[in-house]
Amino acid sequence: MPRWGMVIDLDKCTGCQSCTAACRVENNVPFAGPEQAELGRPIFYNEVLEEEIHGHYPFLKTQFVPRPCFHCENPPCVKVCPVEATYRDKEGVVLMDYGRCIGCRLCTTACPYAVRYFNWSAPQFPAPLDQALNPDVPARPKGVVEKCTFCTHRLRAAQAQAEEEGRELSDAEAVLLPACNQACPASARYFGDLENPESSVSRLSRSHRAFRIFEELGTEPSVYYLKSE
Amino acid sequence: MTKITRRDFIKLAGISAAAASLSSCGRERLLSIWRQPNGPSTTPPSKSAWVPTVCRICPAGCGVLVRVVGGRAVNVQGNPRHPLNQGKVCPRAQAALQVLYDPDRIQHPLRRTSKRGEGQWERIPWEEAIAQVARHLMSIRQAGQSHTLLFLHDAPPGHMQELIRRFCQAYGSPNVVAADGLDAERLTHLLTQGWFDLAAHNWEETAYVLFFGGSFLEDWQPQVHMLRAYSYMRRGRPDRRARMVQIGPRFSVSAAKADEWVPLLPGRQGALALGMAHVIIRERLYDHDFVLNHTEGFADFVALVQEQYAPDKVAGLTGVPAETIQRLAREFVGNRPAVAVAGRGLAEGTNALFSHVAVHALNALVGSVDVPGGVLRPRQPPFTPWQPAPSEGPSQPRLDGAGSLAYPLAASALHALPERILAGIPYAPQVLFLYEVNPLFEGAGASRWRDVFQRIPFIVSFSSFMDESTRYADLVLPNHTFLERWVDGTPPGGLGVPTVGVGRPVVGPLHDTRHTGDVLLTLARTVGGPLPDLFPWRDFEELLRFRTHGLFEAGGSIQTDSFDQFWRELVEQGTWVGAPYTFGQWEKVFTTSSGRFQFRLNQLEETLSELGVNTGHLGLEGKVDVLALPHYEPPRRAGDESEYPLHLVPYRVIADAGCRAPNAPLLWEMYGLHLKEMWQNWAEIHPETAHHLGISDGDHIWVESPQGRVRLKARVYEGAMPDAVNAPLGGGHTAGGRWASQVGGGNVAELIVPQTDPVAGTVAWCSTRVKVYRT
Repeated sequence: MPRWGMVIDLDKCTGCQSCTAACRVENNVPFAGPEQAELGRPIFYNEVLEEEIHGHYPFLKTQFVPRPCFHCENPPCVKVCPVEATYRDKEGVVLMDYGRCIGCRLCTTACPYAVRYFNWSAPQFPAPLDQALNPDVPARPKGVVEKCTFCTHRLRAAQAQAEEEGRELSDAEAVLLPACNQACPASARYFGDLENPESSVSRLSRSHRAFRIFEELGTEPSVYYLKSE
Repeated sequence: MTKITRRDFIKLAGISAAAASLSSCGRERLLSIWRQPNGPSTTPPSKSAWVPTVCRICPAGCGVLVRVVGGRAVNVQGNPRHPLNQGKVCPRAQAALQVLYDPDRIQHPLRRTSKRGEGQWERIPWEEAIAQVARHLMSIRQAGQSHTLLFLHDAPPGHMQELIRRFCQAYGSPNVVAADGLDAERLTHLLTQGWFDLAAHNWEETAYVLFFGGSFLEDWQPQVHMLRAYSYMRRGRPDRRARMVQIGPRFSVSAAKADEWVPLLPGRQGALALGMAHVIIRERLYDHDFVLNHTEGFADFVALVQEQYAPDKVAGLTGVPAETIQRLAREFVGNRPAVAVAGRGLAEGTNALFSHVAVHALNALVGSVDVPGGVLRPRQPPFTPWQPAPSEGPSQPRLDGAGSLAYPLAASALHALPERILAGIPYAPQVLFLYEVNPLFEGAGASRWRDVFQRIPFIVSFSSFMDESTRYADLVLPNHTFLERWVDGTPPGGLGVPTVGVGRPVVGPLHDTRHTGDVLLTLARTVGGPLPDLFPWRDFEELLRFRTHGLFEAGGSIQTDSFDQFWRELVEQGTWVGAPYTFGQWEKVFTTSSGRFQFRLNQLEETLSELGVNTGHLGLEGKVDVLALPHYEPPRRAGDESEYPLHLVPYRVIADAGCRAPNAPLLWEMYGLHLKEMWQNWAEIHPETAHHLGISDGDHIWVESPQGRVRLKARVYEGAMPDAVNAPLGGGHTAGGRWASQVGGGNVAELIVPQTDPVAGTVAWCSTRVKVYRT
């Protein structure tokens, strides 16, 4: 049984935000507009964070950290959901069941990484922008929480294709499977099976540069970062 | 599909509050309702096609693949075949769908029914619109006034640009003015190496890069190539990690990702480069072979540099410590191949040309010209040559003064136009065409263009968006967006190897718009004279077929027996790539009369002498014999230092798509990553400066220059130099669509005092001083 994970190389990342843009387009994420943005409500399954600049002028330092959902092995969000609207599937992907979600937002609070977003308003796609919706991904209504799915729709399609052809999904296919990885001009992102010791993500997760965020919390994230030199 | 609210489905499914106790089939029913979106159906997607085309949101022209499902464009990815981006895209390409499906797009031809700028229009049929334009063009031409057509454009490199140029040439107007602002670099290569073009780079082998200004990871052409190259230079070669230094006024994304940031106010790049040259020459660390065998004028260059640009003196001119200058010089020669890159466009001031020349001289000093890892000459694709256009009558001077005594070596001088038009020099334009350009918003001193527009009797815009300039037009003949039309593109600069992207319409036109290329061809047929013979193609697709015949003959990446086969493959693959780059073809690399790299800019000297130009008249300090060598031309600044104490540093963020995607909410919502700003622009101020001025982070302030003032949100930012204010271009729209005009903050372009580099004709973006104060 594969266990899906991701590795993001912070040395290669150029802070361009292609990943953020590609994800929003792939996943039919609505834009929030200026007023809602002011309230901190735009939904970014993947968001490029920037470290607070440190050092003394002009010897300044910062880092760009693209942050998807970490699909924890021990997810606090799943623990707190009162209605089982979020769950970790058999392959380690933490998903939403929008139908069950009652919008209590305990999960958005429980998540230490702030990767979960609530639909405070009904997503707006003023015509004809709605023509551009990706048919492979359901649109969500007002009142539910959403987040990065590791592009589970793409994963399922690729797995179905592989099964039809009587083979396993290869590591090469997996690496650029999610939309964010595919778009990244710096090839800084990798996706794959952490249970397979030969996969790119497994090997990179064992790098001396590899680390995870807030490991001390015991969430066991499936996303590893490679620190800059 | 009716919209089901959550309340409805709870009633429908007859579910009690104890949702957790649902049986599995109840749960499945629930899920099946919810897994349908409030929008188009998600029954298994029909077999979708991925259609290759060329992204036209910025000049780079990355190859993209667009997914089409049921006639709708639903996704954009990079085309793995295109050598520039190899399957990758920048955030702007993702906005292509929001450009195509923009609800505020202009949907059909419009004729103005109110006074200019008041925004009342009537719809007219295409035939009438084209006929009206043709009538104007014909009557002007018949009166011998063809030269009074002014065509402003920012068409990216490709056949729209070519068609526009040729159309004007055939029609009889010299007034094709491009807005791309990159001529200082092109002119540098003309003067030093004999060809007028941007540089190509071979980043795969580069070991060290010095970026003098600009932001190579945010505002570079071609951008995606640079982003890929960055990653490759850092981690793509197991035995080597390139070192990069960003010199410039901001701690930008590029400065953060480089190994070192050297703060330097704009306009001083040349001095720093020459200080480094002094050290390299003094310590005899230059590439002796290259200098001896491939350059001319080295001795004169040495004499000037040794005398004028010692590190201590340069430290005084630049604020960069002498030890840093020496260290950078030694790093540069010690890590070969090393490349020096001058910031383009927004990083340029009144001394743009000479800054570029001084920086490029460093490349010659270390022999990084036309070697692996170095600076290359782009190889143009072997398109079928155009039929020569006959010249009709005596040639008229250009409206913008390019090529005249005012701007002797400039190819164009867009920002000189307003003054000259308002003064009626050298004559009055009668017709203005606008293609992918928005001077009323993007031009230096933006709103001064309003007076200019009012002087021109007939204005036609081809824009897809009702932007600031288009609102002042008389007729709008809206273009298809690039996903609806035949497109092509050659990367600016790029990798050296000839590359062509071609794309067919990905979806049918959404609205009653037309390909501007087709419109120009129709006009050519209608206007008459020499034009119909020179433009025999029915439409833009046919024009592309004609020109790409040359690619078919050359072979390259698509080798077929017949042209029809070639064309089909080209459209299917989306890209054609020519022969790999051969280094060291010196006869191609140096097309100067000497066949060498010119430290001594003979052509500049000769042109100035021939024209009898007084260099003082050009605002240049120094005599011609100094001007003709790489030297530091001090930047001129508009605004008295005592009243305007801070330097304005305008710049672009990567999410800024300019006039080609002004209304894409996706981009505005990720506009200011480093300051977590969305839907809002800002002015970055150093903490001490802010404190001194009583300005806190988030205050709304006026930023005022001699040209005007705008209201911006102050952000206290450590990465700003103490005597600079950094503000991004892009925000401040008052037109262009509902989302464009919701972005907070004023238009920074309003602040730019129009000044030009007198030799290159480029606008001096960073030569304006400002003051700031709370509102």
